Amino acid sequence: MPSTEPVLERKRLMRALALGREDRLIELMGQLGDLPPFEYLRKPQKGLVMVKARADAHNAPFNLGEALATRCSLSVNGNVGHAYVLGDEPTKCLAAALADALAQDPDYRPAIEQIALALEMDLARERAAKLEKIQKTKVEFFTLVRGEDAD
Amino acid sequence: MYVAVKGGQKAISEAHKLLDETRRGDPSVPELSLEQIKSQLSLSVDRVQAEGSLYAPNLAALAVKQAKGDLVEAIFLLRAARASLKRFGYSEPVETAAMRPERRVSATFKDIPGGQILGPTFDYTHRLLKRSLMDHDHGLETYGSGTPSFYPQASEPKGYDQTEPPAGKPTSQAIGRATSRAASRQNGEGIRNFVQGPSPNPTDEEAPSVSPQAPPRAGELIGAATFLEREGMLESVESQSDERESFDITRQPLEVPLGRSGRLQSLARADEGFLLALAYSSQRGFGSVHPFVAELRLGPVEVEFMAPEIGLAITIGEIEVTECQTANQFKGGGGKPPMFTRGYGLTFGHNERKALSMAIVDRALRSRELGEAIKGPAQNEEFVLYHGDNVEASGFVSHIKLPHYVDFQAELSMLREMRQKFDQDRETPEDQK
Repeated sequence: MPSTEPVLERKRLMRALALGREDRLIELMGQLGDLPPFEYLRKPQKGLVMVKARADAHNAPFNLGEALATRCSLSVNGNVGHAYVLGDEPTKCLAAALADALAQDPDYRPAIEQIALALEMDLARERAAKLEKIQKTKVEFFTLVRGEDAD
Repeated sequence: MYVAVKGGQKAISEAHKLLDETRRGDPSVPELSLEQIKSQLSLSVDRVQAEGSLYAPNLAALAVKQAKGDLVEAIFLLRAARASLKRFGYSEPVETAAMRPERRVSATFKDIPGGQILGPTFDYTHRLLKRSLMDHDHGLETYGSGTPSFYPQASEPKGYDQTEPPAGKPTSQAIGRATSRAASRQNGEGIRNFVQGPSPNPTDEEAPSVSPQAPPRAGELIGAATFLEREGMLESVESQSDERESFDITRQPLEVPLGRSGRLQSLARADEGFLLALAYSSQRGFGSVHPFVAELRLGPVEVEFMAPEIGLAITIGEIEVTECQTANQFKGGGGKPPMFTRGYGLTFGHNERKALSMAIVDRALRSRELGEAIKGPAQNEEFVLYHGDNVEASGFVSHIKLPHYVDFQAELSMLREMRQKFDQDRETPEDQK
């Protein structure tokens, strides 16, 4: 395997970019310093994704309903970056598409991976904090034997 | 035939101005922000998303605000908004088994792997109004406390009831409790305990401690339904995969009989009140479904989307959903042994009553497939699916309040003619007929 092989797959990078907080993503991108110019292939655009689910949780799929989403495509030095994020999020979507394009440039790849890891860390922290509160509501029920009818 | 009317533009635009003004309410009271609606009226926002069939918390909050809190109107607004947007495509099916549950209860097994989590629930609350949530709690303790501040010259009021203790002191046990409650207002726990009673699972040392660095819960959650299925006492899911392609009611006309996918899509956006009433009627005997809740869960799931230009299914975000799986007694028939059969409910957001009702109605609508007698409206597919959409229903019912002058005149003159004939017939003596 060549040494330039990305450490994080594109799928994982894109997940971190989509689930990360917009302000944090922009803050981290801002720390990269001067970035090469980009060209829009598709300006941030609002649209819908029909969300599918499965009957009985794992049976045949059905259409649950639509979700608002934003998409964007651009190129940086010939590298094409794409992003799809839920919600009406033009800025976040632009930042994610830029990160996706830059990640294809070996000079920027390590920095983008660091950003993705930082976003994943934030997410893990947020989720753990939430989980801690939720776990306090874990309940143990006991069944009671009714009256004299026992045995 | 409906004949339209013209005119009225000026009055209509003034009426809309007045609507804007009444929506805003008293200008001395701060205006509601969308953030406030999203975070403090989250269940309204969730209902609007579920029945508006569009997951978009900001737009749903805007719709609630614009509709002055009328949720059916807000649902209409959201449906209209979605109609103006391009569809990028279909997501991969969300995996509720990978949900990080914020609430997860089973009424069939007390010990399910991962445990039961009550989460933020209204269950087990005493349904007493919480005075601590009032903007201005005048406090019961001020009752009978003597001279009102706006009436400085007044002498000490004399109570009608001479047995009352002197003014300024608590007059009953209830007021005494309220006073001590007000005094402990700083102490939120005290108020909560007073209003709700002790929580069913008090926070104690035995609560599992989770380090902030703990990784997020991952992997498949074994559902309560899985247990029953492994034992063969719950029908297996494979036994009923009847469709190759899932139906899309937003693209294809809804016709009965409809496969399960179209039914679930339709029920997922149907009116909560309608489904609740149908589920209730079925439980009470107008139908055959009175199931157990194998599992009810609430939490976020990640949405993956296969974008052709990327060539990968990528995570594009998270949505919160409520899922309900029910197990319903089935005596056997159509080659199937006696076992529990399934009903399924899934909605956007936190909508427990809706998800549960949906699961009951889903199962009721499987009656024909399972060879059961059709005894109630909840089992009648055409009745349920054609009347559950509150945008359609409210449009059709409400349109009759709009001008129908020509239609009405036509019916009026027809009835006049009929009446004339009726009166003539009555005046004519029997023997001349």
